[in-house]
Amino acid sequence: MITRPADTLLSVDSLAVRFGGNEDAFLAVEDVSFDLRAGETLSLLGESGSGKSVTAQAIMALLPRNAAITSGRIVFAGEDLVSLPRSRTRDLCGTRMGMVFQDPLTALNPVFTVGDQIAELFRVRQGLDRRAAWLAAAEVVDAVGIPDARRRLDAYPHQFSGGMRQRLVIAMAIALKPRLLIADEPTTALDVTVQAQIMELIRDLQRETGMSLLLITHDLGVVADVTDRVAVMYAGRIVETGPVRDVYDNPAHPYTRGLMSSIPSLEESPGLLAAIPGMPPNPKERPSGCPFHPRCAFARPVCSVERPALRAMGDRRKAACHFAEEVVRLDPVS
Amino acid sequence: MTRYLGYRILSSLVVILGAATIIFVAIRAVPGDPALVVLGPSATPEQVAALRTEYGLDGSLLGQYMHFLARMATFDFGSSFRLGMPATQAISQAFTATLSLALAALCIALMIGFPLGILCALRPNGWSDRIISSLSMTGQALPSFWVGIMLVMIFSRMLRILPSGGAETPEAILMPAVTLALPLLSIIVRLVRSGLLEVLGEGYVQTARAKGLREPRVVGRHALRNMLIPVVTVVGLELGGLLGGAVIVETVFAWPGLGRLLIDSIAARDYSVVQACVVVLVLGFVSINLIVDLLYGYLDPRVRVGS
Repeated sequence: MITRPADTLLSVDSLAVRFGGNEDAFLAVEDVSFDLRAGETLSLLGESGSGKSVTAQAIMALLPRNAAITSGRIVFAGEDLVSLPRSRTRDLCGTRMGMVFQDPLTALNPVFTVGDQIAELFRVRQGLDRRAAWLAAAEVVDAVGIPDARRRLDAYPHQFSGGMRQRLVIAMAIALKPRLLIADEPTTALDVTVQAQIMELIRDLQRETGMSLLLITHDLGVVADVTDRVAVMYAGRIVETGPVRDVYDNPAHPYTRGLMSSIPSLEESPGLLAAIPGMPPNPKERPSGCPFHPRCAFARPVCSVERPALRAMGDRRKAACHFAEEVVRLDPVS
Repeated sequence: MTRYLGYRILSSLVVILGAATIIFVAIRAVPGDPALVVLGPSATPEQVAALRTEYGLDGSLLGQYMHFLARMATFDFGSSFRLGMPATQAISQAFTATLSLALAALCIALMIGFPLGILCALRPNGWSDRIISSLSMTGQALPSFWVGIMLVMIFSRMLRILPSGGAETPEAILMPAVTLALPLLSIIVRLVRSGLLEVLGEGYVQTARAKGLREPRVVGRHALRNMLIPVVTVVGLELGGLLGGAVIVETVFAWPGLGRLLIDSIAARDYSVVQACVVVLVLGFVSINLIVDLLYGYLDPRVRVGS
């Protein structure tokens, strides 16, 4: 058992999530472990299908009906959520952990006013009466930067823009002052200009409340801006983790290195974008050995046979590559 | 909103006028002279002519039509050749009987169909879903005359606890209502099941769960309200159908409703009652449609007009 800092809020340990029935079952997430301390921000970075959203759903007990946690522990504030009944985890949702979803256009219920939906939290979860809940809702909506909050509570979701709707979703997630905010691709569905505002808002809220943030994204820029640490996921596993600056400047895993060099640079001539060759593997038929080896420029015979463990590289970094020490010493990516 | 309502009422009037015109022409296109039907084959030509004059059937077709429209505006359809009373009086009783039968059937279908549909959607492909879904398929496939006769056999002949027909006692409505409800109930079960399954995959359901709401509240408030819209459409259309389409059930159970009155009146070439029946049925259908459209606005703020 690894000792953890006393202020560890969330600790995911060897999590595995299986999808599907007997014949076509596959592991969407496998052996995923990470810690998140109070007030800290961790990014789960990866392509679609890498298992990052499934990890978030597992924490919030929001996994779809055909998915199940098959092993591992999710310890939140001292309680193992995996062994808790779903209804008990549901109690923690909203009050202790909040979640922001990818698509603000579908995350709000179209048939209720936004005030109704936000006040519902205060009424159902905190037992406030109608009037007090409404006032509390106005306060939260005001806090997420929606002008004229009190009047706008009577409006329906379709009367707001995409960015405003995401503010409302955030308002709902933070209304009861949770200690953990999980943001699953919070800016992906938004215009670029709005993306920055939303991330700014999340950061401000985090600064005010001291909550921890688990940010799930495929956007390398967003990660660099707001995150302390990053965990890169590939094919259901964490392949590299460490402080953002270290991982970005000197990736220790060839996949991370590929991601970094795919960022177009303004200084260099605008030629071809560097892309990682090939496609992420189908989760039902992942390659043997290191799942990244068919696409890896550094692959050697051992890579197709033996799966590299996630091992420590210095005291704050980990990487799952047989040749991590070589990769990390390569010239920094531009 | 007022403008929309005005427009809808106006277009409803056009529909009623069209239906009235069609039935006016159609019933006269059917061979058979009402006077002959009433008087029988032994009537003298003088008697026939006299009766035709009495019923206003001797004028030109256009004249009769204008007369019909003018009286219809005051809800007067003339008197029944067959029953010897004003047509409005004849149908008002029948309409009440049909409406109570249709509403009873609707209540049964909704009260049973909704919970069953929800039960199916909560555990899709579970055993309760399989049983209920196949039963609802069967329920829709069974012809109502057969169901009706079976019910009569069981509850009237064998158990002797319910009257086989008529509307004399309050419990007489039970069997015709159940028979009428069965196909509608099956539709509602499958509609609620598929609608709820679809809605449960929506983002706002996840949001509701992430808010820590209990599953009954997530389903009962956030999901259900969103799947009501397609259900309301079908229920509205079906209720319109129940008003006019209860002929078979009304015949099996000797229920004194509009459908039976309409069939008997057509057979007797009772022009005034036929016309009155059709106009009232169309009026009912159009009103239900209007109510359904107004309900949309209530259920889904995105289609609210003029806001």
